Amino acid sequence: MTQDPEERPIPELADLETEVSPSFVNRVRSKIQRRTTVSQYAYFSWTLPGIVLKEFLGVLIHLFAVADGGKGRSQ
Amino acid sequence: MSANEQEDELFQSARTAPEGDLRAFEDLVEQNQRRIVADCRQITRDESVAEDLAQEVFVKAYFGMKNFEGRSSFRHWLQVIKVHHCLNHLKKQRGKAAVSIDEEGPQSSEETKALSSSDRNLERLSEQQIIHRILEAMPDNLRVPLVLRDMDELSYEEVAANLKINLSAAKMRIKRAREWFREQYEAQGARAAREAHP
Repeated sequence: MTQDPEERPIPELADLETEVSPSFVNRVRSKIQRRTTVSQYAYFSWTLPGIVLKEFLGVLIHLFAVADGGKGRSQ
Repeated sequence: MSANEQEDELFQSARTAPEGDLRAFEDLVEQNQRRIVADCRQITRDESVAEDLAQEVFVKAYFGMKNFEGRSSFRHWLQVIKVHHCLNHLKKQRGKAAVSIDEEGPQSSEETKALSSSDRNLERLSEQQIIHRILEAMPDNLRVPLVLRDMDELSYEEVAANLKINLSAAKMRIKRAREWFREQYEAQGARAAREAHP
């Protein structure tokens, strides 16, 4: 069965390409790297205060534990 | 191994590459850049933004590939990202872009005439340039469905869904766009091609 010519895709369009500037890939790479850096920075800005606080509390708890131990020995 | 299979293999390498290793992805960009830029140019009819849009398409693809479920080929997946991105761009740019894409615009017999009568220098253009010029003269409501179907190889259903029109309208527009294109191509393109390569 032959297909109506109007139903057939236009072959010229399937292969249509255009010239691209030579720096295209470099610009894509820079954008990806920039966005990666920004997202890492955002991630660290969000999580770093939590990590610091947790460490600080850990040190405090440790100091109290040491102080309690010292009192116990002196009595 | 077919080109598509090779591309899918390269895509798998890009997905599994350690963070920061962009070599496989850059190869994919190299392979697809000319086609994606041409597609962006034809959908938006704006050469000046085509490269920027294409770059954003690749950046979106890079950050989205970890979530890619593998239900289609890489090429098809990239086309879908590009279509969404370019249509969003059109909508943002024109505010009511849906009007020009979805509604029947004023029929452009004037544009056809303008293309055939005033563009005498088309004869000197290369075949690719002729195709670009014909598409640029085509109204949005015909050009966009044609590009999605015949350049991006989306199904009729996908074209209809992306343009938010019903299936029969999508088929009708694509049919009319092909008629338009062939008419113009035969009138202008073949003549130029004959003169360039007698």
